[in-house]
Amino acid sequence: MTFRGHNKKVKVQQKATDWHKGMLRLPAEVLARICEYLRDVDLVNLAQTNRQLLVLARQPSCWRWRCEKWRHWQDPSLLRRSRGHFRDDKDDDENSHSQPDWHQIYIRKTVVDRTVVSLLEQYSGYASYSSIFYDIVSLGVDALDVLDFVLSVSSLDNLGAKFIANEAQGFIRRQHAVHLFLSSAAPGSTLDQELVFASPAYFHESDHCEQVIFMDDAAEYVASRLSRASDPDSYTAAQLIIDLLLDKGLLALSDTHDQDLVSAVFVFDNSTRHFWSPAGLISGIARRLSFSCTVISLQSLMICSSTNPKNMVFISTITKSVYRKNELSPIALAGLGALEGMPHAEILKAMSSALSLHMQNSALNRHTVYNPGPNTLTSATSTPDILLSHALEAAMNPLCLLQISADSQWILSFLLSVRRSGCRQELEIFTSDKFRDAFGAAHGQDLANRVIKRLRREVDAVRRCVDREQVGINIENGAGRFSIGDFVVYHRYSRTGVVVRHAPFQSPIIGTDNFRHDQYYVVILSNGNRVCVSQHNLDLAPLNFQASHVNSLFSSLTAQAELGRYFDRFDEKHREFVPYALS
Amino acid sequence: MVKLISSDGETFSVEKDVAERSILIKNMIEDVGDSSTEIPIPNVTANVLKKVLEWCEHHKSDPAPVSEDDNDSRKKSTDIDEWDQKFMQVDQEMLFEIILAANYLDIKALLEVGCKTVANMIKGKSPEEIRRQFNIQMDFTPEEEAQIRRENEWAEDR
Repeated sequence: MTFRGHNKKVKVQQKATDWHKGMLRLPAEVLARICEYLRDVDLVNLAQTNRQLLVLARQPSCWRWRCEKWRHWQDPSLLRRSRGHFRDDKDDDENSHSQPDWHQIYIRKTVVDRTVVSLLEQYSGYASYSSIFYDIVSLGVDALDVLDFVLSVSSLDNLGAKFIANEAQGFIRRQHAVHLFLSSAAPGSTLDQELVFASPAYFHESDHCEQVIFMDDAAEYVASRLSRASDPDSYTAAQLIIDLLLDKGLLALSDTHDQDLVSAVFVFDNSTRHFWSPAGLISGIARRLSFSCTVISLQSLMICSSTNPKNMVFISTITKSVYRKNELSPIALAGLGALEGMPHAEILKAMSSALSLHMQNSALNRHTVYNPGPNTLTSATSTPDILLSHALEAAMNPLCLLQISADSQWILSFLLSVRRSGCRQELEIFTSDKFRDAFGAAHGQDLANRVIKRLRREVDAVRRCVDREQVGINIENGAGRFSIGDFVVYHRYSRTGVVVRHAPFQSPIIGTDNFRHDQYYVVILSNGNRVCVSQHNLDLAPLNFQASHVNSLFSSLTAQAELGRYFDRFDEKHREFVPYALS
Repeated sequence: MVKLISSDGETFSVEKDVAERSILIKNMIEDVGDSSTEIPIPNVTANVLKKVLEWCEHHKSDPAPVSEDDNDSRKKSTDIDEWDQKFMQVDQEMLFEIILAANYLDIKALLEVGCKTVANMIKGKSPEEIRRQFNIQMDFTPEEEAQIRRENEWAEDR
């Protein structure tokens, strides 16, 4: 029989000497417990009082549970990354592997959270889009948690913040996957496989490759061929899919690496009103065959067999080729390296943000108008698509602006599409001195001067042209039955939605397929789908809406993010969506 | 009834379920198997033990605390119920004694209340005010202090 704490004398003596030390005579575990009840700022103040308390308050364990509020931070792949990071700092310290520096992590994450929130607050319409967007995505995966949080708050205030948070979240996830993929593919890389295969998890939520009739047929075809193959692995499957798409003319072969514009042919699926990139098509088919598939960019993706995830291949729709992992690293790294050194960070940003807006707009407007028939698939080769593929190329490689400029109409039409898709500020970039200097530094001052002169002229022309168009649209408004912000019912799906904009013809001056048509509207339905609808198919919704009704109607995250593209917030008092103030 | 003897020799007679708020005492009683034995509490003086037993008496019918391991759900609220707040209105030395006793006797809930009380005393105070409040020795050089303040700036603008 023993009583714990029997060594009475020792303890009592010790206590006597501790008496004058006040709070510091509490044992470390009790002090740590007290710290748990403190807010960040109090804990930090406590650390400033005394050496002993400083050590206590800087202990990683003191911060670990505080880090638990970040969901993504608990993701093993990210955690490892952080360990890798800290390993660099304290080279030989074995302990730093098993115990990340939670204090530093906490600080970093707190600062990121604050930065993102304040960036999102600054959003005030498209003009501010690109700078905010890129500031956020430059924070990388650390920003995922706060973005998640912003998106999880269901409310119709601050729609713009949701819009931009949604876009940034998708971008960061894709970027992170590419990063993981490349680091695993790099020669001599010691990164472990688990880390890489954690990444497809990020794509589940952004998965939109479903419900296309064509894909079912295609998948069946590939499956039947696969069953005859001796070795039905992801490599064979990927090759079969590419062959099939080549057969159908959905991919075109090109001999050069010159990023021939045919390679970016897009496919419009009428049944889902979705615009498919080749990568999207391939991934749709692969998923039907139960391969897991990750779309890395518009033109590249990776497929791995779900039974054996290490059996992974990479597909480039630019070269129409399938690569095994070990073949990939030199190609991918060279490609990225080429982009890295560009002096055109600005233009690249502008292009890709213009591009993402442009694609969403043009996809719906044009094709529902031009291809109203029952065809499920139409290969899109009209002028606007060529334009779009130019834009794509430009986004991936700004230098082709120059190469393609031999085609005299091209720059004008590209700038036009940039402007029409709502980017006002972006145009300024092309005329700025900063751009000229950067360009000059890379390609010589003479060339830069010539190009900038040309660009300035074109930008002016674009401004004039778009101003004219807007006058035209306003006249049409009079004839249209709805205005922006109206609540409407779309007969075809019996869904309520909001009119977000008129759908003007896309190309009044370029090309020949410029049809007059009935007044069309772009409507965001309550489930978040965007549709472009003739006014015959729309009716004004009953006006006895309560504000709470609108709130529950548009409670879906996608709907809120989509609405944020056009509106600042929902005004409960006047029961209307408020657009961004024009700056 | 259980007999407890404080470090300075005073004997306290308390009901078994009051004494068993302390996991330490509970384990001892189980070890001994006979609740009439006198149990020495060598680390706690009479005035503190009296106070602790007062708390145990008031809380004797509280539900057993949930398992300690569910750290995730630990609520970091510093709310203290009214009776406990009153109970903790003692001088600082006594407060620390109670916390030490609760820690030694393994009375989770009391330890918690004590820690929350101390935390509340720290809250909203500047480092200098905290030092004064708890009579903590300042042992940084001015350079060190400036350095630490810089490192802590991230938490301040809130």
